[in-house]
Amino acid sequence: MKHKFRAIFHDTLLEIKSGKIFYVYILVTVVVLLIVSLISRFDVSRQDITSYGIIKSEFIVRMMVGFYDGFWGFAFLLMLFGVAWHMPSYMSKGRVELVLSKPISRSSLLLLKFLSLYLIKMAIFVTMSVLIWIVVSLKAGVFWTGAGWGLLFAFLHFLVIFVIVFAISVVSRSGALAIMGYFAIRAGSDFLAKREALYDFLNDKTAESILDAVYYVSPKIGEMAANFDSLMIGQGFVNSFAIFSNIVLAVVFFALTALYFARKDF
Amino acid sequence: MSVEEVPIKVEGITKVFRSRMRGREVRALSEVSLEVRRGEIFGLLGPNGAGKTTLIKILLGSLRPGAGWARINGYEVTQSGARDKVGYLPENHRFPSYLTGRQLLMIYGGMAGIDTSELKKKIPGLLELVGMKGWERNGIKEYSKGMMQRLGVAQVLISDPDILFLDEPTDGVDPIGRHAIRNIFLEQKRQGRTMFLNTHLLSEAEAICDRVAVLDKGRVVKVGSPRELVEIGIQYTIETAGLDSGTTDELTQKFDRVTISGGTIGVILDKADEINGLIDLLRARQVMIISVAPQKLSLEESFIRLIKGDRRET
Repeated sequence: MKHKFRAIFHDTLLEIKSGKIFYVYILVTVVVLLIVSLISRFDVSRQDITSYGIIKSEFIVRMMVGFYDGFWGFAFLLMLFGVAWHMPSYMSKGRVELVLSKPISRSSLLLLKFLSLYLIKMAIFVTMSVLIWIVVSLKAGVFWTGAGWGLLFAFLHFLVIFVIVFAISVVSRSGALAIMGYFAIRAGSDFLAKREALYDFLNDKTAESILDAVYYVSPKIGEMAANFDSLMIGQGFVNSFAIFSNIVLAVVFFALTALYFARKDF
Repeated sequence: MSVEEVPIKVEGITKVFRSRMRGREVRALSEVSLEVRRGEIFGLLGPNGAGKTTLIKILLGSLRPGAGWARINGYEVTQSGARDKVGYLPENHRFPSYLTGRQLLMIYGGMAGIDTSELKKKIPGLLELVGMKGWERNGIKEYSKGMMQRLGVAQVLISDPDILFLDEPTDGVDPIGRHAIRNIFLEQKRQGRTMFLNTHLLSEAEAICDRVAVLDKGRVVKVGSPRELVEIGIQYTIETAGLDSGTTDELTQKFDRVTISGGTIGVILDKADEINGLIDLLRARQVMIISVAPQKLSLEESFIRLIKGDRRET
C-alpha cells in the first residue's frame, strides 16, 4: 500500500502543480508578502491607547484576525476550486479505466486520492500562511500565536468542507456542481444555525422538530467559522458540538461516497 | 480446466445499460461465455458496438456485470486480487498531459505496487523496447498518437504482468510501428504471457492470435483459431460451358451463396465436400465443367459472412 499511496500522491502533486490555480497561490502569496514588506513598521511593543480607546496590541490582533480571515478566505476559495475540479478530471473517460485496472480496491483508491489532495492543499496553505505570518510578525513586532491556533483548526475545518466538496464532485462528476452544492449547504447551514429566531413566528412544534433534526444531521459550517475566529483571539471554542458533529458527518459523507464509487460503472 | 491452464474464464456475462432519463435499455452483452488458455494470444473480434470494450471493462473492474461471472487467475473480477498480475492498455486512453513518459511509468508502476527503486531500473529498458528511448523526459503532450500507444505498451509491461489486456493496441500507429508492437507481443507470448487482444483489425488477429472469438451485438458468434474461422467458408469458381437457365435456377435454389455470370459460377460452401454435390448436379444436367478453382475466404470475408449470417438467424 505504501508504494500505491506514494504513486497516487506523486500523481496528485504533479497535477496540482500543472494547474493554473497553483500559480494563483504563488501570485497571491508574493503580492501579500510584497505589500506587507513595503508598509512601514508598526510597533506595538508599548501598551499605548489608540485614539479609539483600544490598547494598541489588541488593536493589532483585531486587525490581524481581519487580515487572516480575508487572506485565508481567499486561499480557502482557491483550494475549494482545486478540490472540486480534481476528481471529475481524474474520473474522466480514458483515464479512470486505467486507474481502476490497478490492483487496488476502489475504496482504498478514493481514500488515498482524498488524503493526497487534502495533504497537498494543506501543505500549500500552511506554507503560504507561515511565510506571511513571519513577515507580518516581524513588521508588527508581535509574534501572534492566535494565527497558529487558527492554522491548526483550519486542518479540521477544511477537512470537513473538503469531504463535502469531494463527495459532491465524485457523485456528480462536475466541479461546478460541487461548488454550487457547497454554497447551497453553506447557506442552509447558516439558516439552520439561526432557526430558533424563526420559531417565534412559526408556532408549529412539528416544523420546529423537523428543522432541529435537519440541523443536527447537517454540516455546521457557520459555527465552525465562528469557532475559528474565536480561537484566533484566544477565547476558545464557541460551539464544541459543531466540531464533533462535523467530524461524524465527514466520516459518514466519505463512507457514502466510497460506497457509491465502489458500485459505479465507468 | 484449472486456473493454471485457464487464467481467464467468463461465464454467462450479461450487461444491460439503462438510460435513467428515457428508460431505454441497451443490451451490450448477452450471456457471453469464453475461456482464455494460459500462454495464448486470444483475440476478440467484432464490429463497432459489438460489446468488445464492455467485456474488457468488466474483466478489469471498470464495469460490473449484470449477470454471470468472470474470473482472472481464480479471483472474481470484482476483487482487486484479480488485477494483481494484469497489465491493461485501454482504447482511446487519455494519459494525463502534465506527465512526462517517465513520470507516467513511475506512477502507474507504483499504483501496481512496485517499488520506486525497481521502477527506476526497469523504465530505461522498457522505453528502449518500445522505441521511446530519449523521450522519457518529454511531456506527454508532445507525443504523437503512435508514441502514446508505444508508451501505453510500456505501461502495460511495467508491472511484469502474467496477463495483458490490449484494447486496440495498434490504433493510430503507422505500419512500421504496428509491426514493431506486434513483435513485442509475440515476444511476450514466447515468455509465457497470456494476451487478451481486442481488435477490429482482422489482419492483426490473423497475424498474431492463437484463437479468436467473434462478438456481435453482445453475443459470441464463433470461437476458434483464425484458421478455423477462415474455413467456415470455402469459395469455388467453376468455369462451365452449356449452362442453361433451368440449371441456373436449380443452382440458386439449392445453394444460398451462388453467383452466376455467363458460364462462371461462384459459390461459397460451408464444407469442402459440398462441392461434390454441385459437380454431380452439373454433370447430371450435361453441363461441361472446364475448371474448378477453390479459393479460401480471407478472414475479413469470413468475418463479414459470420456476422451477416448470425444477424439473419437472429
